[in-house]
Amino acid sequence: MNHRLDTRVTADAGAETVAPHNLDLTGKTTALQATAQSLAVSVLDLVATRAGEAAGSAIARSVELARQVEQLGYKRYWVAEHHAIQGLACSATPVLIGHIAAATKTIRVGSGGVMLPNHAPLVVAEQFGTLEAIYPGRIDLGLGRAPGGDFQTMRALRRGLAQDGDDFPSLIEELRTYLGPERPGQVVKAVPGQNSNVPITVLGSSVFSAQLAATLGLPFAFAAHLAPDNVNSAAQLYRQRFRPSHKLRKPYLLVAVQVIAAETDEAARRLFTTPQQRLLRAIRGESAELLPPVESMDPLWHDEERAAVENRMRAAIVGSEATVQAGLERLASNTRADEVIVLTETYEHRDRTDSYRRVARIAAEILASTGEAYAG
Amino acid sequence: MRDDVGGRLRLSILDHTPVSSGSTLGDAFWHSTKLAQLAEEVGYERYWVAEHHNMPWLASSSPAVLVAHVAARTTSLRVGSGGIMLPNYAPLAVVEQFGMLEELHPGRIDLGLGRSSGGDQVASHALRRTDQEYAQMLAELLAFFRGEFPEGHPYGRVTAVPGHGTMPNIWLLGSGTYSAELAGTIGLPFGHGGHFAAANNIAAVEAYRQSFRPSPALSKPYAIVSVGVICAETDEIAERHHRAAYVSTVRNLSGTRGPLLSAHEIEAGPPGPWSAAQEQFVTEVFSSHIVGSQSTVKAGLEALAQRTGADEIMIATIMHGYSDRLRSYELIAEACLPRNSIGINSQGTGGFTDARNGF
Repeated sequence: MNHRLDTRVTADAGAETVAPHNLDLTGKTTALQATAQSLAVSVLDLVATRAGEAAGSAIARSVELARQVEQLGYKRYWVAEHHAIQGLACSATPVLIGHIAAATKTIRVGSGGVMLPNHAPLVVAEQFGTLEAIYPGRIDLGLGRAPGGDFQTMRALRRGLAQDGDDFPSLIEELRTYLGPERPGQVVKAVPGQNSNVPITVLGSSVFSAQLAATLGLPFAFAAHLAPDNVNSAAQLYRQRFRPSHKLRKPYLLVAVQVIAAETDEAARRLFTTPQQRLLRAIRGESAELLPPVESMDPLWHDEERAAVENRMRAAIVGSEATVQAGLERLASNTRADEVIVLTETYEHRDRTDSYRRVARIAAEILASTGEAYAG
Repeated sequence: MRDDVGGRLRLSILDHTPVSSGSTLGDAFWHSTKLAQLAEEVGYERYWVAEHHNMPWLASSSPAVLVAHVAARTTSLRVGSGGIMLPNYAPLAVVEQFGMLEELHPGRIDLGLGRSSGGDQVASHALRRTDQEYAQMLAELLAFFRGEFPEGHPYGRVTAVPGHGTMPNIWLLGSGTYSAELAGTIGLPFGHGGHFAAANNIAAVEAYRQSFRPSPALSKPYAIVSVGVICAETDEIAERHHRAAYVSTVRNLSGTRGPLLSAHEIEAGPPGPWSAAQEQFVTEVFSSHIVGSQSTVKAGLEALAQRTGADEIMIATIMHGYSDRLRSYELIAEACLPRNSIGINSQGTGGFTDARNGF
């Protein structure tokens, strides 16, 4: 898996536009290091349930994790939006955010992301305006345009049938009207929401969203766990096309990636069979619940299925601390990410928190590319 | 009040999260938390949040988020929406939100549903409000909770996660007889919005009882009537608060939109905009309020319960000043909810088949 990633990475690293970088930890320093700081890390949570587990129990584990990563120095805790998928208890994202923010004190809590075409922008503004009013300075609004469910589910959510995400830019614009300062003649105001300036991040897994984030001068979060192919090209395009805005002077790139760190490579790979089994089942149209790890995936999948799962997950960084450190350094170097959003799913909660603990240690050793913190 | 509750007046709270001048929206929400904690402490039956849009003096536009906020900071109080305006949303989205709340706070969540807009026409447009038939939307919502779509229905394979199998108590709310009859016909509890439509309360409750058919959820009818109340140490103080709320509301509806003003701000400040049509509307609404000292309010609430035959009175207090508002609810509880008299569950489940309801 890593081998394939390496190949592509080398090609990208050869491109002139990718600046030499600060990953040299051997002591050879550049001027960059004067302003450099550790790579920021955050959490993405899909609130996966175990087979037969109630959503409430899975959410309780998420709350515990949020408290733990808050202590470990993670910057944000984001929850995703998925609908009608047995095994993912993250459909009502704003309710989850409210629940998790109530149980934590300082960590930023947000959506990764709200699938904007599924909602009226005014409703999203009111929900996140409410959260921001209750937890000032702690709420993030990540926005995506994917359905987050199948066709009938989108109909049930009253998403426009012809809607393919093309109206995403205009929906963002409408939403920003409700979150920004009141405009002259504005008839409908978001109460709360108006002038709350909840920070928006554009999420995506394509160059389309990279370009949109760049044009709007907003932070961009790339879902490498969904689209491992596009990460470097999207990152590059985002930086090239970035137009400074009053929200953000310089590009700010977040990259979401699956990570499992454990005592040894072998132990981590074993834990990784839990997300592998889930993706395999999803490909087969089965439920997406968490299953215990297995010694080997070989009895479970055919060659084609194996190829499909490994291909989709080839950005995943799985292994001992040394392996994960090398993987994260490579990711940060190739993408020049300012922040890595870590998606770790294991069957046992202690393996999950153990992995996040190891990643926190590793991230502290890695220097971020820009050295400029994005306040939001 | 009804015999089957042993003569005890059941009271609950409807919170619009009013915003006072000189404070932030955050202050208003944290005040709501305090109010809910008071409600739990002194024995109010339930605490509901309203849904309103585009009204700078009412901050409760996202009931599900607010319910999560309040439920996380209380332990046993029933918390819910009063109500979610269903045509503003996709039923599946409401099922997911309240299914999640019920998962997080089992047995504590009420989902009150209404069909008005909670705002003006432009806000409705911005909310992408649908003109689909209400009863149909309600049927869709119930089918998602129960997983009971008819064979071949396009949503038959769409599962609400969470939501399917974790249904909170559903209430139908209304200001006329339509929702009353609908609630009765399908055997759900009913809430009448008397705090803004008091004239219909007797007829609505009567229509509800007449049409009631027992259901798996509810064996006998249960009706709430809401009413606007301001209680203070004396009749005079309460009336002064009420007058300020009245003037603030007329001004807000007449053009100058902002938080509620204090009695002092109104008495000392310059006159604001004033539309005769709005004055007439607000006067009518405010004339049904129960305003005064503890004894005045107690008599008013008891008379309302007698008159309407309501099982429970829900109190909506929209006024300036967070501590004065908290005090109002506290005084009412002191006068009407003697804590040491009877245990809350001692009179049975009020017709709800699930004893978790706390009736």
